[in-house]
Amino acid sequence: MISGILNNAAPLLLAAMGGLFTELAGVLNIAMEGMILTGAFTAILVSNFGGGLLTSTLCAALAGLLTAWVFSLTSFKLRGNIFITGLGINILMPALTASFSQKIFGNQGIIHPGSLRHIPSTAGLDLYTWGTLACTGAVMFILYRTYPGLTLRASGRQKDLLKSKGISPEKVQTAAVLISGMMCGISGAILSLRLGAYVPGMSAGKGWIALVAIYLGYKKIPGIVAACIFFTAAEAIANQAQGILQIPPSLILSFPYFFTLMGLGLFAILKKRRQ
Amino acid sequence: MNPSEKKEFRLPPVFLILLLCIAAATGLILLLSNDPAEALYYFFPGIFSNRLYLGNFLNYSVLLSLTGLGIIIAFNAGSFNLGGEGQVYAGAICAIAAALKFPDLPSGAGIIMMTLCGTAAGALLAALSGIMKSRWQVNELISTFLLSAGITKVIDYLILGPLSNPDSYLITTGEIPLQYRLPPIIPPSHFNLSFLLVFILIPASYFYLHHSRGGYELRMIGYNREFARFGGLNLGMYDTAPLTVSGALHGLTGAIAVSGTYFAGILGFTFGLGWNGIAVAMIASRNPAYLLPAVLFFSWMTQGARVAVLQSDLSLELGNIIQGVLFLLISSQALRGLQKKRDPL
Repeated sequence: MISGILNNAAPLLLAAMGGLFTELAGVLNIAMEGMILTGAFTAILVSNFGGGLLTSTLCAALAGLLTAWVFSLTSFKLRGNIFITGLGINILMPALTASFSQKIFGNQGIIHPGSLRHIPSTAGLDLYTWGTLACTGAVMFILYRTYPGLTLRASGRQKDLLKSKGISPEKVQTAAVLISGMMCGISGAILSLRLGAYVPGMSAGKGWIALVAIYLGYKKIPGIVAACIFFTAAEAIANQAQGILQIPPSLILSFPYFFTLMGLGLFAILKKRRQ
Repeated sequence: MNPSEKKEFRLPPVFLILLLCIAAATGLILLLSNDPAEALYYFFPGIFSNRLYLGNFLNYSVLLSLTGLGIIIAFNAGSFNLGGEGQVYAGAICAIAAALKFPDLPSGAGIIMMTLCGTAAGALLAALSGIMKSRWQVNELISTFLLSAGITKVIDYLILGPLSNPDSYLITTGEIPLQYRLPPIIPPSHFNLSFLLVFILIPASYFYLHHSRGGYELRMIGYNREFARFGGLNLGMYDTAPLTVSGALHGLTGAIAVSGTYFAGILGFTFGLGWNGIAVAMIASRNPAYLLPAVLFFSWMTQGARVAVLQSDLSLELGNIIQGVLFLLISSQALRGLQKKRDPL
């Protein structure tokens, strides 16, 4: 049960760690949804053409990076509104993946490659969950114990300080976006490689929920981990409820969004009380 | 920037962005179509070639103007309504539910009832986000989106389940009674009398925003919140009301889409009206005066893409791709030639 929740929380947690980079750098990253989907599609695409787990995952990271590059180019170089450009990514990527899917596989639906590598697992947690946990530790170290991490956090809080030290906050923010793109790409790869298939819209709001998990966790890593586990557990309970309470599955799809909204509202009310 | 300068420099940079989008669409067609000439014909002049395409193009423009106007009003007050999709959908489903519940009213009363129900549904959804914003500073960008995404799934459930029509092979609700349907002006397309609303609401909004005290206050909050607070304006009211009006316009769009175009609730039939409303509002630089040209351009792009996909061998999500590219470029300060860095919203 616990290991199941941890396994399911891994893609969300990984995306949230990526989002933490952008969030601390002062970038509102709503493009994560599109990046995750891109990663998921790329991973299945590559493994369909014989790529192993590692190759598929790396290619997914690369695809996420590329998406993030477009996002940062339009947001920073072309000085677009970060929210609109993020939406652009979220609209563009599902459409592009559907088009490529049509061109390569002849359909826009579920893609199910014939042979997929088995994902090794120990102690109930698979390779990706272990990787995510290790990554979380690494992110904690990088952000709070290294000079680049300090620079990154400064770009979110003290832009002028960075400028006075001759560092361009924009460059730091671009780097943060690129890192988050890679991590979201891998997060997508975890989703699709575990399932062994690509399903259109399979990111299912994960990018948004990751963002809210960051807010709910007060932008601190332990809090974010707790929030991710909470969301995953809530999802698991909703799935259980489906069987027991006879809630129709199409209605359950709305739960993550409403849970997230409630979390957000609760967070805001608590914050207001504190002041 | 003084006003005269603004008039000289505003439009051309937008055209640059629009040209880039056309170029991107053309490039994609050339890349992905086996017969690009045919696809391009249907994409650009093709939609003016017959009454059906022309009428549907105009009809889509009417719907898009209303959502675009909704975004503009909220946008001027510094609120961003990202829940348009869900609000249109909610407006539509409430209009249908009302029509199916009371199928025997006279024509006019029925249409008015549907319109009011739809408008109220959209307004209610947006008002929730507005209240959350004004009371607890919950970011309306995120709350409108989440509320809309959640409600969309609930409506999907309603269409699949309780409201579904077992006699139809499509996933759809029962059809609304014949007397509740707006008659088409250019048959066989669905273009109908609702276009009059556009010619009432756009000038009215322009007048309100630019020539009334309330509109002045509203825009002041959008431009400089701290200054407006310092001036003693009621921020809570302006955080809630414009967003509510925005939601109401989206709900209205949904209701009109039902009574004039679709006559039933089809699964996921909002066709990006909410997102595209944001795009046209951005193209129009949040000014109702520029809204109509922006809408006609955008409607032409999306409908052209649709016709091209229908009529040629293009089997791709061309419309969404164009939309995505447009979103990536449309807010760019650099492409608009603005040198100074200012707050993008």
